[in-house]
Amino acid sequence: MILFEDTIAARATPAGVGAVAVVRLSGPGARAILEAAVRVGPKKPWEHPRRLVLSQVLDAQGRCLDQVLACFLPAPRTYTGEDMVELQGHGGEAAVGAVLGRLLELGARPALPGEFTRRAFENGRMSLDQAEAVARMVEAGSRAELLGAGRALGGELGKRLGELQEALEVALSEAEASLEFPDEEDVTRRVTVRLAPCLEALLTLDRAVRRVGDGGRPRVAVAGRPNVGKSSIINMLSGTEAALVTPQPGTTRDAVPTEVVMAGRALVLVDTAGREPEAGDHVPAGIEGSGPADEAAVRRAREQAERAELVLWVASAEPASGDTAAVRRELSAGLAWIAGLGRAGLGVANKADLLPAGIARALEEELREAGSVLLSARTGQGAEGLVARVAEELDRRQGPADGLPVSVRQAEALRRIRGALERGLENLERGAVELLAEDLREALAGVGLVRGEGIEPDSLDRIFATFCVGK
Amino acid sequence: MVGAGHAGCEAALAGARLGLATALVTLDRTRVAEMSCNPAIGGLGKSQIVRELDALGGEMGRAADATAIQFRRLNASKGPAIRARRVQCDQADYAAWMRAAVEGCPGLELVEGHAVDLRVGPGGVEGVRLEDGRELLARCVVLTTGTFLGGCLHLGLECTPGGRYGEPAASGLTSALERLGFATGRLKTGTPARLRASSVRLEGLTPQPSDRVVLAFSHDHPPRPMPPGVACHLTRTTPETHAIIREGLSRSPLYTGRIRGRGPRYCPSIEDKVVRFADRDSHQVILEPTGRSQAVLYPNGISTSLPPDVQKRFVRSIPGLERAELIRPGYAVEYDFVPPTQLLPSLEARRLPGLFLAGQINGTSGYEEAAGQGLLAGVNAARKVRGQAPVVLGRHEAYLGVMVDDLVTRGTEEPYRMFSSRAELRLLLREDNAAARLQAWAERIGLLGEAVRAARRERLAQVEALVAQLGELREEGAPGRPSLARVLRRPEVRLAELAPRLGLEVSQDVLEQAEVRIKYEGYVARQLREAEKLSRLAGRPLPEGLDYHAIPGISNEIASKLTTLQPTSFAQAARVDGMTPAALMVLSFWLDHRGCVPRGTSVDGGEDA
Ligand SMILES: Cc1cc2nc3c(=O)[nH]c(=O)nc-3n(C[C@H](O)[C@H](O)[C@H](O)COP(=O)(O)OP(=O)(O)OC[C@H]3O[C@@H](n4cnc5c(N)ncnc54)[C@H](O)[C@@H]3O)c2cc1C
Ligand SMILES: Nc1nc2c(ncn2[C@@H]2O[C@H](COP(=O)(O)OP(=O)(O)O)[C@@H](O)[C@H]2O)c(=O)[nH]1
Ligand SMILES: [Mg+2]
Repeated sequence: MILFEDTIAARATPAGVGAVAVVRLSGPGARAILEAAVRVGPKKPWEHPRRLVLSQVLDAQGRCLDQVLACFLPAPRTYTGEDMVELQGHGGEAAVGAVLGRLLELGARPALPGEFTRRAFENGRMSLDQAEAVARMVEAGSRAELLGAGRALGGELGKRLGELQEALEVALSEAEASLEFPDEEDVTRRVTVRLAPCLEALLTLDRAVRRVGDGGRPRVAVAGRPNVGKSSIINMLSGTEAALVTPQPGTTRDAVPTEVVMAGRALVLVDTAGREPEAGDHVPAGIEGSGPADEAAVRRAREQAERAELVLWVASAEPASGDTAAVRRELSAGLAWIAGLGRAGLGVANKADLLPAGIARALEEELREAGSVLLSARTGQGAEGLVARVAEELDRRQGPADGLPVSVRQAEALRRIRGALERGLENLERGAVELLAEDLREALAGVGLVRGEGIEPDSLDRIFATFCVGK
Repeated sequence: MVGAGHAGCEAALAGARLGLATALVTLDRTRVAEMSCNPAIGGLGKSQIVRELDALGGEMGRAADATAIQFRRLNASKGPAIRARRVQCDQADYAAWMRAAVEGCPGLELVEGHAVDLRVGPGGVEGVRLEDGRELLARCVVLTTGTFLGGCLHLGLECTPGGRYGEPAASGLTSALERLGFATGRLKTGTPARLRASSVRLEGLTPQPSDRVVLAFSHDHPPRPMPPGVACHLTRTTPETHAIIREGLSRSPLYTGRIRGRGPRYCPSIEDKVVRFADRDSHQVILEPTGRSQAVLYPNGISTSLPPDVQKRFVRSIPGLERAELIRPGYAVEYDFVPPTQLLPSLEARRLPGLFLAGQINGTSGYEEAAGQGLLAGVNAARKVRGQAPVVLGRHEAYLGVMVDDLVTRGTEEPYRMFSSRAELRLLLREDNAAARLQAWAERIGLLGEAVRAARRERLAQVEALVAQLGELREEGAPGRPSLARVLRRPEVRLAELAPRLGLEVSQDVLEQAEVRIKYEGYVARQLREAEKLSRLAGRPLPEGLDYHAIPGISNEIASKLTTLQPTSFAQAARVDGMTPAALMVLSFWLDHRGCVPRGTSVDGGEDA
């Protein structure tokens, strides 16, 4: 009996023209499908596992669809833990499509995103943190992120978790020993329950991780009144590392997400414009409820902001020529709106090129104090400052770009660990050791959640190894 | 019932009190409920068991209350969930008390004899055969043979058959069980020498007096003052003691490989302590009187199986024991046990209907553990005869539930002793609320008389009323103030101090229960939610006869364990050693989908479950 009865197929290399394209099959039917799909010479791939064997994929009528190198990988020592087949074809959209189509005809089903990895996990081939690291690796959009995911896959997350777990288990066994053996002098003399190593290990872990959203990349929304230069800013930012930009069709007509890499992180910039500016556009007095025409736009802007990790509020710096305070007022109003949505905001004054140099300098100074930046999307002046501030904000919220990526679920578990340790400290102070023990168990359960496995600390084992107890 | 030890007595009393004709067969009718080791009852985890026993109608609590000579409340200064009663009993009084209970129990016959075989018919067990040829026919048989089956006493390199010092071993039943297909194993435990008190110099040693007030184990006995006079005394081993022991190791059955059975890590012999903790040059020894007359002392901390001459020398190197006379030497006993994973949660054998096992034969150690299993086995045997469903306590209901579940799902490699950390819901499984936790079960089992039940119900109602009252009352009657329940949650506030000011008139016991409940409310609520999850998961049954090796994604090791254990529920499977949530997910997924996944359809729906 096998866990998954169906066989899945997908291309393993990205779409587009490349030198080779790999199509993979996984599941109990992989071998049968391979046998049915190819014409081979005297050397048959299924008789020479883990070898590349030249083969031709044929259609139902026996016509050659593509010449491929076929490789049969028998279970269980494969990526998914199931029988697998890899076909390396000659690239070319048409050829890959035809090969994949033939495999589906023969009974395979198209794999869902990430399904190969999920099977690997469920077949016990990798731990959950590794499986998630693979997903992050696939998603990684920058070198730094790739490095972080690679480190996680290499088990660094596991190692850090192991350190935390060890510290927690030691503390737990100390707490338990003092409860279970109140009469044993070996315990009463030697036990002092220490939480400091736990807190230290948690801090180290906290600093090493990068929290990634469920969608993978963090979204940075760009909001502000029409015409302040939101779209221009996005264009400027995406132009800086244009080679890495892949346009992604937006779900709504007006909020077009753009993938960019900034300061070593892949992120998605979202334009929140309700509509494209038109000549003689009238600028609404306030962002909310400024007239029926703008209501829909405002609602959409809010929706985008709510989904974003960080929201930039863009204002035009132009009024500063008369009064710098006006710009600051506009920025703080926008930031207040963002804060009201429960999001993190960053103020951006654009069109710095329209200000006399002296005023620009003064304004920049004033803005810096408030954590906002002055910029010109037209000249590119101030762009680095903006990039640095965005990176800083994301670092603060998510951890460093090359941090070990953790999912929302894992980040939640880390929060749970922290909460438990905070309660534990209080309980320790009050001498409520029995409650402290519960807190430590809770923290250990949190470690198990990050790891995707149950942890059953055997404090008795540790106690007997450490203390001389018993009559 | 075979064996009138602590398990056998509870089992027999339960069976007879539930109205069944019960025979208790034992080797020597003058040695009923003998305390083989030191006559102490209680301690953390164990005292909770005794309270639970009492809540369900067991005898041990009453016997301990009646014969206590020294009492201490452990962890008194720590949180209430981990406080525990511990008494020293008069060894002879305790045994006599229990024997009287057994002999005076209508419907219960004490039979002296040596059970050597089981009578088995097509429907299961039919009775026992005694060595002298007698046969006792029974619908159910409970084996509580303690340390006697294949018992072997080690004293230095000498090994003599025996179940306990001065008592013969029992034979026959082990091979009878093996013939029936049961697996058996060997375990060992040990005890120190007994000292003549008159030969010991107690002056200069630190006394450890009894608490002045004894809290009874039984829910029906009020706290009472402890007459002074009986104290324990502390002394310690010396570097010389350790040197003598090291010299003697060449004649130790443990260190020369003669004892193969595994001993309990929590009761290491003194030679173990000296070897394993070589950096310590001294270990504490507590001299405990074993009776009112205080003629015999039990030196707690120096259990040993070294030869008598070495024992005598090392004992005499301990301050106060310079001229100590050994009434009898310490020894280790090795005995047969039946790995308890062969039992159902009712303690009935899976492979032989009607046969129940309880106590040390199941790999446990300790009077309380034995008595607890004895009660459950006795009750369940009676219920089986009556055609009623067995009593199986949950892990979130009682330490008894934790113990039985641990035994039947995980088994044990060393003698199993209760520890509070074995209970995931320790904050809930307290001494103070044992009756409240088990009230429903007690009513269902029916061991308690109506008068007792009524009195207990009344006290529980008082606790409820007091908790409710504290939720309403405000300090100094000021309406804007927080409720007293809220005030009480602060760790430094004690209800005992508030109560007189409020004019609350309730017993100490009721006061304590109300207080503890309020103090732990937050944590317990969270744990109860966990428990609920546990019981919801427990609800999912596992089909019988599953071959877990056929399920991919489950490691061979776990598959082997599951295939042997054949857990009946998911919750049981979850607690099998090495089981991971991922493997559980695979298992549940596989059960959902086996044989019914249409080709080509997505199976993702099931994965979210
Ligand atoms: C040397 C020694 C050291 C111990 N040390 C510790 C310790 O350090 N800590 C601890 O917690 N516990 C210790 N104990 C264990 C404790 O005594 C037992 O756990 C407890 O007594 C077990 O209760 P039981 O009812 O299972 O069996 P027991 O109390 O052993 O009673 C068994 C009874 O069954 C009878 N019997 C056995 N076989 C037959 C038969 N075939 N036919 C008829 N009658 C039979 C015997 O005569 C006996 O009366 C020790 C015991 C011994 C002997
Ligand atoms: N002088 C100047 N003009 C700018 C700058 N950024 C944008 N603009 C102009 O402002 C107008 C509105 O820009 P756009 O990016 O469409 O604004 P949006 O409505 O906020 O998206 C356009 O005419 C831009 O050319 C800038 O930095 N300096
Ligand atoms: Mg725009």
